[in-house]
Amino acid sequence: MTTQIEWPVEKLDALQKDLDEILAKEMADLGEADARHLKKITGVARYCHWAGRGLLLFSFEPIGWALGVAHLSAYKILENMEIGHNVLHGQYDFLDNPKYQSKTYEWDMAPTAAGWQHEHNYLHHTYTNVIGKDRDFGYGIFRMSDDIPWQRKHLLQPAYNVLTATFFQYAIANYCAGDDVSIGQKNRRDPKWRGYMGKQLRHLLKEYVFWPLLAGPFFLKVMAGNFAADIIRNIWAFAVIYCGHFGTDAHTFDNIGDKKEHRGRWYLRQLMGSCNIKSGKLMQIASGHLSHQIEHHLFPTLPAWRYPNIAPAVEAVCKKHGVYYNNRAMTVQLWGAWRRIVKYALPTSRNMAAA
Amino acid sequence: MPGQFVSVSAQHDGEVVTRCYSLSGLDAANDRIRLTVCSVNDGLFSNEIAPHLAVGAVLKLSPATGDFVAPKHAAPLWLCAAGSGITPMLPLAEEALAQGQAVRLLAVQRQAQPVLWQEWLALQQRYPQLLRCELWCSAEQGRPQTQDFSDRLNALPNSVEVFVCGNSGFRDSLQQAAQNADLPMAQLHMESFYQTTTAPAVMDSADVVAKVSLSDGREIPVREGETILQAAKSAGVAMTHCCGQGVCRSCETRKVSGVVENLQTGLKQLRDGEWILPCVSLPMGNVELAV
Repeated sequence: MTTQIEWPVEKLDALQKDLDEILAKEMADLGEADARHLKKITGVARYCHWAGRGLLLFSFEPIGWALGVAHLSAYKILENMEIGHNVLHGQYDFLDNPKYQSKTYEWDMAPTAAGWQHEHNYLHHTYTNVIGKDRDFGYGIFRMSDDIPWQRKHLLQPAYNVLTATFFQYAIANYCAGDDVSIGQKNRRDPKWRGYMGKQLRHLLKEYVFWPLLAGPFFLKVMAGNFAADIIRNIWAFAVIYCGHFGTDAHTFDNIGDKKEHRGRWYLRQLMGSCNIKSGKLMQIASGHLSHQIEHHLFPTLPAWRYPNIAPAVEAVCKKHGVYYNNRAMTVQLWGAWRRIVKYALPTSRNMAAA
Repeated sequence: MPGQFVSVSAQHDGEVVTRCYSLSGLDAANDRIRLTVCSVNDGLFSNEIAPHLAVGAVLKLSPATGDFVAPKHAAPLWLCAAGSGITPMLPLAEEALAQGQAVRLLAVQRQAQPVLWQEWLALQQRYPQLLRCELWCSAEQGRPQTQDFSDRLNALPNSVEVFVCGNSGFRDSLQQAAQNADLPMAQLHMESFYQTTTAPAVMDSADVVAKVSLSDGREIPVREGETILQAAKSAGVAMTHCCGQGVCRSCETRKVSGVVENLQTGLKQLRDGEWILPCVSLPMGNVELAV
């Protein structure tokens, strides 16, 4: 059931003021420290990338191969989550570094940056958990609450959830492509559609033809290594992302149409619709700081490494205004998401009554 | 179902534009639907998007919704439409006539002929016994009053189902007539609709506090308290944008010179060559953008 927000304007104003203050303080502080963080992370990612590629090419025993897979998957996770996701949000645009500018950056993954930005930065971040608007709530195929009418195909959703987790990057790529309004039902001659498909094809060729060919007779060894690294990244990204908005106590909302939303209400929706993961430093980096999904949704364009620093202040604001700050262990959040997938695979009483 | 509507989304200047249109024709056998788009002054969808759609263009449709549908049991229908309110009536009439029900239409129009009038005439030829159409030209006869509706309603059988689609004044008069005739509320079906227009604001030059110039030489006058994006909209300059609240950064633009205040952070952006978000930026004096 969607949650009805019935806060008076004064309360929304007060919430907005408190959160705006946190943002303004951080924005005034932007500078050197952010550049240093980005440099450090991109340095580690570059090291992991070349170490991983090298080990996979030149290792001749299982341990070297496994180390190669570990390095390459670490690179993919860092590149996609801590670097790609955050750069594409424009968090580092202020540095004026042409390499990490949100309009021109292209990440090393199957979905195109531009297609994903529309789906994610605009639709998901503006209309978080609004039924009918935020397609990330169930990605158009999963029924994650009883707001979505049950159909027979939902019975199979636990099974195809495992599939989409394994091949997450392709699921996301096609999800972004499929929603582009002008593309609609896959018009193959549409240049945009070709753009989406071209990116996926290039990625497949790079990982499963180009790098393996460099190894000559050891083609299969490199291909298997790249495949393993892709799968590890896919499952990890899936797990982190599913914790974000599907945990127990994540609320859903009604579409308010073309009415302009009060910014305080927008903040409140982000607080009520997002879930944090209790985490240490390593987990924070590995999740691209999506361990702090709440802070990320409040301030999506603030450099993500700052989220853990402002988390106590955000939690205090929540407490002051009586909003639940959803911060739990990853296992608990993931369990909540999985429970939804299984629970709503079956018709629920509300939909039976309507049918 | 006949009488329902769908919302249609198309992309225009990077923005998703959504409008609701009634189904004006249904061809279930061929999986086709017809929508009738009436061109209105300043209508973004009807004038800017719809005329440029080529055959084969793909739009996004919502599932058909609305409870403006005929009851399951057989009953005569009285369809009352004002202006483009006539569009959902055609499939309703087709459905009822095919089931052998009597249908009466009252179409109130400013000009002589409503949209799709040829289709109505064809329908009348096919069902001369069942369908009776009445055209009310408000330019000559004036607006129909409650009494006009009451007269017609009283001549109809008690079991009649009344369908009303039109502007609010039209609906109010009909509701009054239905009450006077003691028509059960369940037999009165109302559909409201409206036109979305983006009227260009008339600008008084005295209000202009700043100017935003673009790289192609155009200048946008900005009034007190207006963001760059709002000013561009009222000046009729299309700027790429989506969320309009500083979330998605679709509108991000390089500022060549000038100072803006970011409404979200309260910070002033002073440096030349900085990236700014026009949707949440107030210009403080003249600003030059690289668009």
